[in-house]
Amino acid sequence: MVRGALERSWRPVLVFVLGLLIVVVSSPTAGGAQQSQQVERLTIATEADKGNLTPYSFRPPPGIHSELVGLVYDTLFLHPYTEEPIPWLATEASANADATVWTVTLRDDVTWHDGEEFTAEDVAFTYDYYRDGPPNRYTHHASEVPVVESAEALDATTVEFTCEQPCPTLDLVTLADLPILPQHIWEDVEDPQTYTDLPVGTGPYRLAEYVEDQSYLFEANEDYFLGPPAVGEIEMPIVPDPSSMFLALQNGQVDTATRPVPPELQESLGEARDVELVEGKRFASIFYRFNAESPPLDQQEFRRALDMAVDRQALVDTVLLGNGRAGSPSFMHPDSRWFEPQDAAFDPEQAGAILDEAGITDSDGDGSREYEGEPVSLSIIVSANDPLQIRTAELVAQQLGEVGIELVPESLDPGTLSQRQNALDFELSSFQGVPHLIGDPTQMIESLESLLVYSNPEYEGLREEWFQSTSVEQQGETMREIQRLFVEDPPALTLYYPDTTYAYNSSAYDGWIPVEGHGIHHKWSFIPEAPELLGIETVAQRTAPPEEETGGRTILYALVVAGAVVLLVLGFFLLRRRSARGSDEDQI
Amino acid sequence: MGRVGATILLLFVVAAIFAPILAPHDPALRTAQPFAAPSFAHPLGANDVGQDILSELIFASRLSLTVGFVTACLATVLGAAVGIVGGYLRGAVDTVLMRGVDVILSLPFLPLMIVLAAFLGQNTTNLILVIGLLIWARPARLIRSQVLSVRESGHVQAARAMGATHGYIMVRHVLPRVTPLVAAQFVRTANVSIMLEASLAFLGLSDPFQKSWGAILFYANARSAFLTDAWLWWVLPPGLCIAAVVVSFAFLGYALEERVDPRLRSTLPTKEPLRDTRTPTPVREDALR
Amino acid sequence: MPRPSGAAWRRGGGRVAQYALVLLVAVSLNFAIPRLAPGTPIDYLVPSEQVATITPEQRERVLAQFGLEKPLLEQYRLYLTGILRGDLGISAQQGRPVVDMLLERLPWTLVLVGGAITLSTVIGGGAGFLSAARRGGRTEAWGLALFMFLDSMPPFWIGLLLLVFFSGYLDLLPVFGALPTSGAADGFGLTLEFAQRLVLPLATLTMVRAGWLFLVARSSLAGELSEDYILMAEAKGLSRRQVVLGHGIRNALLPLVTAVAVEVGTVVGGATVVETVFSYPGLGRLIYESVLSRDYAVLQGAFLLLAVGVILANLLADLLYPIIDPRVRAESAR
Repeated sequence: MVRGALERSWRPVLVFVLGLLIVVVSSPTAGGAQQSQQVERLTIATEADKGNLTPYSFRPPPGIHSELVGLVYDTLFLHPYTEEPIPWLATEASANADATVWTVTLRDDVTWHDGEEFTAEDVAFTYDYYRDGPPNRYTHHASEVPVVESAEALDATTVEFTCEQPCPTLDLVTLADLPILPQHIWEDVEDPQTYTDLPVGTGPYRLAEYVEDQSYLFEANEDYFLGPPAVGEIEMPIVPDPSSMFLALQNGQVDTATRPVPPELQESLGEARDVELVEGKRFASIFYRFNAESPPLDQQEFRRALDMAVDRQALVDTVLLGNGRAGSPSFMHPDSRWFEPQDAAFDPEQAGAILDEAGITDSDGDGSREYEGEPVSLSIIVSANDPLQIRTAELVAQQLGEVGIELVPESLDPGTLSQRQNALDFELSSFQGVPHLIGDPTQMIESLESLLVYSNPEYEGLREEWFQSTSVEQQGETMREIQRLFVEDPPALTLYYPDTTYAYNSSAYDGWIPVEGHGIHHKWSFIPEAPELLGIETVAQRTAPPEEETGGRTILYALVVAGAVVLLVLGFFLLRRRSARGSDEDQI
Repeated sequence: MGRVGATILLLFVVAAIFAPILAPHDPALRTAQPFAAPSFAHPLGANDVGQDILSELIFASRLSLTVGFVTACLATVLGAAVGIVGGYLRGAVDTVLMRGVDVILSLPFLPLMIVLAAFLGQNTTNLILVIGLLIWARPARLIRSQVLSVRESGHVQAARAMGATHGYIMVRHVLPRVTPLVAAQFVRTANVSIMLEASLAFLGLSDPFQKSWGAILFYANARSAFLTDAWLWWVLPPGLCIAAVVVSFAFLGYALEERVDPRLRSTLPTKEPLRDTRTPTPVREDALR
Repeated sequence: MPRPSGAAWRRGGGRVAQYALVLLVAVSLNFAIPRLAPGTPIDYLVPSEQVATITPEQRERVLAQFGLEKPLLEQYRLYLTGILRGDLGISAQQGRPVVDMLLERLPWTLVLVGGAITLSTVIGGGAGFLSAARRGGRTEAWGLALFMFLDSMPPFWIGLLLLVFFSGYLDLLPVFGALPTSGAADGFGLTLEFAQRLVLPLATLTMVRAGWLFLVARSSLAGELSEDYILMAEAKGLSRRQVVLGHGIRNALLPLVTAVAVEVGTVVGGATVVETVFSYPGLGRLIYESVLSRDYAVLQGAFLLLAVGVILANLLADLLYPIIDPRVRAESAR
């Protein structure tokens, strides 16, 4: 009787174990291109308060602004540093023969955060608003380079742009950079700088809360046209102190930081539990602006000699501990598609020879050259908040001292620095090249005039050529020629391109993608379709080789099977023993 | 205690004066690998560009000591003068002086320094000037408050009754009585100004091309020394130097207090009435005459 | 204590009038000083690449948003009338009314600064009195040395070391901020979170301010205890404790009260560094940021707030003098 019962209970157990095996075997393989897990909340520490994140809420560096604006607002094409235009709010764009008139088709399934429909009227309004209103970081795209004469909504999903001069890169650059504003809100805004409401955009996140100087809170836009983003809520505390920021990352209080990891911290930070580092490919450079009206900087040979007297590699090795690349006269960032590779010649002897030829010699043997009777002494202004720049200036001063030019570094608080830079009240000034300045050719062309005050007859001709180019290839070629001209007559002294390494906690989120010019903290790290559209791998995909995954799975199978077998065998023996005992008892 | 303070201070002064001899390297030269750990050649390692930290530390004492001492002198003299004159004479003089003090004290100090640093440019002379011109206000107020009490005390009243002039009373009666407080204020001011210089340097508002302890800490913090092992040799020493100098000023001030007013000597047992073991001070003698 | 007479009230009114004058001078200085620094909000509001492209009309428009395009005297007049109305202008950084910004920051600062002042007065002042009353003991010497040492350490140095030790090494406390970013907890939980973040900045600020109050209290009481009336009291047979507590401390309070009043004035500025290190959203840090961005309106407003606070504290201290030390007769207060 007992035996029969035991025998009967065998079967359900067997069935159960077999069923388990089947389930395990047939479960879908998770290996391969899984983008990222769905995460409820992410904490990103950011280094500065950037206002309420409208395109007008600019604050001076450091800190990221346009990527945060990009969380809330969208552009017509994906971003301005791609090889080919990638549709985003627009689906396609086509130009006429001489690239002065563009017709752009928009998506019809996009809504603003407040529920209103996104239409071509919004786009037309935005471009007019930027062109005619006060400047911000994006307005030059409509008001200067190029000048968008008119933006007209032909119907609900078509816009026609007319440029004053041929604008072959409209879809590649211009339309990819300008965030679109909602007409129904901004048509009543007289002074964009005093607009303090939370921004309304079409982007994957809504700015739900902004506490000035403390934090941002973003909520996912579930109705985003590409589907809900991968992270439900993003909180961004503002942590100005770099030590605090990385400390917080180390002990898990935040999941990542928007500040690039400084060279001296990379080793120890990378060793912290779950903390990974990735090169963000954000465009960064440090260059020295000339005031070409201040003698002897008004002499081209002098500027060229300065360029040749600076040992950029030494700067990279000492100040950046090797985490960067030596600067090139080309001015554009080396990772930008417009970059023309040329090495900065470091040749102090040649520099000395050039100076001698120009009549700037050391006539009294005191080690420093004279110009028109006065010893050559230049001052360079740097920001007091930026120790890397202070150190760099000290080193450059030493290097220039060896060719007989005295360089006196002066450190100023950021406000004074801005003011003197804008008033051209300096001889040399240290400048941080923001991604837009060194990655976007239209911005560079505009800045050569406004920022760098560059005047060179050959350049004038090339500039005309650039403005008359009707194709991307033509413009690209002209851009390369301009950069070749810079070797002879540099618009500024590009010192180096620092690496932009970012740290993140891999167990919190691993869907980050490094996008050239933007780093890893941008909306495309949260949009599941973006890596494919951009052809870039997420950090998760990079660090997990496929073999390991299959290996893992095989082991899992083996374990389960082995376990099941062991259970069966054990069970068999146990039951046998019991029934044996039972029969013994029965016999007794 | 005074001896301890004086000794330490003397050590630092000597180090400041003989810096070029004492320092193993020229702190302006890059003689090591950046961020080098301590070694025999570089006992405190190297900073972010490879300059020897120990040498930096020694040379930095010059600036810190100069700033501290000069501003303290400036401030104490001004502050004592204003405090005594105002507190003793009272009336309109006192009112005007104290309202002036109030105006200065109502200005937030550090932010004001930031504005002035921006306006005047970041160099050491301006720093000393600005600190000194603002920092006397606090001692003035404190000294004045004690003078208010002293003014009503027995021996001062007696001197007035006997027809002594205001000037005589202020110098011979009031001043000695408030000297302990003045000494304490001197010490305090030196401390505050050394600390202020360090804070401003740390915020990047003083001249970063000059070696000062605050500037060393500025670079240390900016180059993440607090997060790596470097805190031991790059962060602790400058902070300890600042603390040591300030403490030694304090000890010295304390000893001065004792010397001027023997009633404050801590070597006296507390239980017994002080009168028996106390030696009469000059002030008392004058009053009795 | 004599009851205040009609004359005393008039004197009190005169005193208030004096303080009003001080306030006016301070307020005018607050208007002038930020404008001393070179640079305007334009340099801050517009990216450098675009500054050269601004047309004069656009420049005027930007400045007009903050009332900065008018002549200086006109701005001054508007500033003064604005204060009377309670309008402190619009911030160039934030585009919001300055009053709102200040009111947002004020509570955080009050808690940190108020807590630090209270703690340092109690601990420092109390220890100082104790030390003066018990001169000659070994504990007294050690206590003195300890407080002097604490007083001599730079605040940012201590703050960062504490941060690295407690937050980094021990992982006990959060690294930054005043409140957790997402309002998950509320009520008691929120208070606890805030308390956690307050501990380190409060400890740092208290440590660096307590030393001075210790010294003031100590020197003041030591001086008093050697006065004749103390001997008289002891001779009359009062116990040491009664003498010290009843008479000595009462009279020694004057300099301490003054010191605390002065502390109130300087501690907000002094807390700037601590606030920056701990990313604490207080007034000190707001001032620092506003100086860098030439946000005149915020600077004027914040300086005004601090000036009012200081003047009130001094006024209070002045009014307390006669109460604490009856020897300071009110009539000689003119």
